[in-house]
Amino acid sequence: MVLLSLAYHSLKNRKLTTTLTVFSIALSIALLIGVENVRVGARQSFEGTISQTDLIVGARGGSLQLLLYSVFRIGQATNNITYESYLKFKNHPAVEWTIPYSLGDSHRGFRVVGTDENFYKHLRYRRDRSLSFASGHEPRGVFDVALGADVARALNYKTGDKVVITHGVASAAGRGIQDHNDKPFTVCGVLNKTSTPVDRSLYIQLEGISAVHIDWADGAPPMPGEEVPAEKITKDTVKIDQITSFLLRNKRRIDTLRVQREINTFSEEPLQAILPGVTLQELWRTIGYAEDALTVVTFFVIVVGLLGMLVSLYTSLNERRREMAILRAIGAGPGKIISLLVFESFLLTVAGCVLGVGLIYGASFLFQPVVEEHFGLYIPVQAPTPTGLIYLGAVLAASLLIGFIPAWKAYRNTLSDGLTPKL
Amino acid sequence: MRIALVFLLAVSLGAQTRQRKAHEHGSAKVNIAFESVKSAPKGVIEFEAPAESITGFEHEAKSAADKAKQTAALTTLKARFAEMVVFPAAAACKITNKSAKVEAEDHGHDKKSKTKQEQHSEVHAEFDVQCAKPLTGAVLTFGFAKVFPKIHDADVALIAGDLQLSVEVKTGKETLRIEAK
Repeated sequence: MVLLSLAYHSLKNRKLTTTLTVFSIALSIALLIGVENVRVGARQSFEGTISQTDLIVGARGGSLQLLLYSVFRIGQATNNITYESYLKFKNHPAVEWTIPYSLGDSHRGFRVVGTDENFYKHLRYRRDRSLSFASGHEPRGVFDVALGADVARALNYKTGDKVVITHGVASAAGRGIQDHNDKPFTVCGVLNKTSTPVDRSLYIQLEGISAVHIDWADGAPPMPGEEVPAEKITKDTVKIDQITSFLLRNKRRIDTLRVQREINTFSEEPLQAILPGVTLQELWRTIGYAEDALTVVTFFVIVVGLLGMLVSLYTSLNERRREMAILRAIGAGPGKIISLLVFESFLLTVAGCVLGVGLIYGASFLFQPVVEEHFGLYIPVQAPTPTGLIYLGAVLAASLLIGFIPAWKAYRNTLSDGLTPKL
Repeated sequence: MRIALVFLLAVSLGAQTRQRKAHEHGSAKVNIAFESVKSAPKGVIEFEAPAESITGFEHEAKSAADKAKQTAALTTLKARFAEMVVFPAAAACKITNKSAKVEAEDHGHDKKSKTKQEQHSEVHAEFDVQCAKPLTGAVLTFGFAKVFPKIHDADVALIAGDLQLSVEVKTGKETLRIEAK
């Protein structure tokens, strides 16, 4: 108790130095916990890109490739799959729902995805979040298009605007193989931001993909005079004969392995079904160097923070040589002097930890929407992770150890200084 | 003409089905699925490995010695699977074998080819798993190499409700914690 009182009054006597030291430690701790939260948040954001989907099915090839083009809209499929095979698994007794994707067209650098109403109804991300519209509604007509939030913002589109999609993948400047000028789409809705790849695509109906290619032959646009006008195209006049991939949800999770095996050994067409969660983790392990880099940064943040505290305590010793000398004169033994300084460094670190954690959680709470909006990174405000708690414990333990260095120095000073330290 | 069409169709169908499954000696694959990890979880486990890693050979077991070796290996797999995929004792899980067999990869018969075709076969096994206690937060450990020293790595995937997890077991020290990361 005496030790606590002495430490408190001593620190209070040096308000400015104490405040600066605590603030310096707090900043290090805030950075430490912040980096850890970003690391965990980035991982959770990544793994939460798609939820409640048991399988992703596409043409046989690499599992990562299938995940990349189906979920992240990166790269292309090596092959499409027939609509007939898709319907076979859509109507499978064990399957609850499917979401078809038809890729291949684009608009000013953004992918155009052909899908159906199940996309808006069943797609989940970050465990149980569903899609919703900021304005308008999902595509109902063949030439309706819904926009991801980033597309609408980047191109400044709103409901009612006309959009011409490009055959193939166009550059951001809009240069593609061929524009489907004769069959423009009308923006019917804009999706709310999800901070997932959903935000960076345009969504039309599966029939829309077929409709823009209805008069194409052998991969080439129609000859003049052979075009089919958009007004003559209805859902009944277009035929869907292929899609790129589909998401699948079973009625029971336990059936997933069985359905996956059925798809992977499907004799009518070479198909491949992957577990999205497992493949996402594989991908994360592949690109996990970024996580390692953040861990290294975290380590250096701790070292710098602790060194800052050491420097602060060490330099403050000079102004405290008289205080130490008096303590020795009134009977404080070496143990007491060392304990006092070690305890002080511990107190400073505890105060720094509390302030730092408060700072980072306050900042996270305030800036979470801004970070999500501008960087697409959803960092959940949640209790410190076990790793974060280990870091805090390690910092506190290290502060006790570090406290011994100035403590030992103070003790040595008191021996040489006596009651008349030369300041 | 009709015969030619039938021939072309047969050739094209043959081409489509002529695919080889990846086959890597020393690598096993384990898939585990639970409907839920709450209350008394019930699940299935699929195990797949090249026969060479389990029985020691991949040719068809014709001799009495090979047949005995194969039977013994499959008996070990059935009896000691709980040592390969280890559930925490607190969950009181019971693993029951449903099937275990050696399946040869069908290469078809190319009578014209005089070169000897490489033959592969795989061991496929299925198990039921019934636990008495919830598996939330449970940590699975693995001991593939202890039972079959020729298994050097295993890809383990686990589905538990909406959770999909995976781990690549190489040293035998890897674990799989059943909870959202």
